[in-house]
Amino acid sequence: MSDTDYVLAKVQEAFKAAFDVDPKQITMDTSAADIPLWDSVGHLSLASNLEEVFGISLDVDELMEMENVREIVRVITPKLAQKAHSAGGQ
Amino acid sequence: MAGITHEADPFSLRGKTILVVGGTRGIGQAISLRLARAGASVIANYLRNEQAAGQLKAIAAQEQLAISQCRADLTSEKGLEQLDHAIQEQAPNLDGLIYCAATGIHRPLDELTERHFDWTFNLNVRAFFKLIKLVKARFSKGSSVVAISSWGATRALPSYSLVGASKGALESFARHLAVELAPAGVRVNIVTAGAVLTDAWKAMPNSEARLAETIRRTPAGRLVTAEEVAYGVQFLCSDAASGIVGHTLILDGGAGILA
Repeated sequence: MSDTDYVLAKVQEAFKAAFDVDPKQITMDTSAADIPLWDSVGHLSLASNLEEVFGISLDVDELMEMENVREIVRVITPKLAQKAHSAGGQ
Repeated sequence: MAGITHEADPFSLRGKTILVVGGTRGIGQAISLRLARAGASVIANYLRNEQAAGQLKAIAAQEQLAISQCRADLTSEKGLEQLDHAIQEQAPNLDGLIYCAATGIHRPLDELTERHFDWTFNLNVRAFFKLIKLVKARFSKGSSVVAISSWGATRALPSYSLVGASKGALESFARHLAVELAPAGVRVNIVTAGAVLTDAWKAMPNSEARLAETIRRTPAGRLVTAEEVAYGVQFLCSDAASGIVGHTLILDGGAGILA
């Protein structure tokens, strides 16, 4: 499984927790237009679930960049690398 | 002092340009439609949901309503610039601003973090502050600002502390603005909506049981509709409300008056 596939699988988990959608429905091309509950309130629920699933923190700017799944993966991937690097250095 | 000028129909919004932030879905969509049906040119801002924006666009086209849309993230400088540009394209002056954008995390205190606080207050309060500063110079005499609030600003609801606190801050800010802007002929008021069945409600924990309990406790015996909230906003934007400043109009079917 590639890094992107791993991140996408975890992102699907977060979508399932936030919106109760079928994880298979979530692809790299999924955007708010595809998920009726993904509005301003839903976005914070999703972000909160992403933080829990990945064990990371998202700031306000990052939150606003995450307009679709591709952007979510783009924001999260370097954070995971940084997290792994920090854990390795301890 | 500007009073009632449209003697024939003081409730008409003909000739007014009104910005509705968060204006393409739920209560915001109902407000955009109502204001446009009352004659206003509406700029409906939204951020995320293209589907709802498309639905509003289709209704506007079918009814030949003057509703334009602007997709912009008001928590960013770029988004504010985009919105400012959209207003400039429509009209140099604004006659109204409805702040209906809202977000929030619905969790008990132990599950809330500082980031949840920042996320919630960033849109619900800070963006309103920045937007008012941005568009203040565009307000013509007789303009109306309406901040959309909720029960949680003054009452405790389960898992609603952050959103409620942000709405409380929004209301307080709006009342202070009402005093500051009134001498310039700009009226600022608040609309507090009770439970309205929208997707935002559906996102709350245990929403079905809470809605059933709300209906049981509401003297009117039903939920308020988004359209009823929109009529309240139309009134506050109209010349018929020219004497109303810093008021909180509660639209909740009477639920809030019960002990």
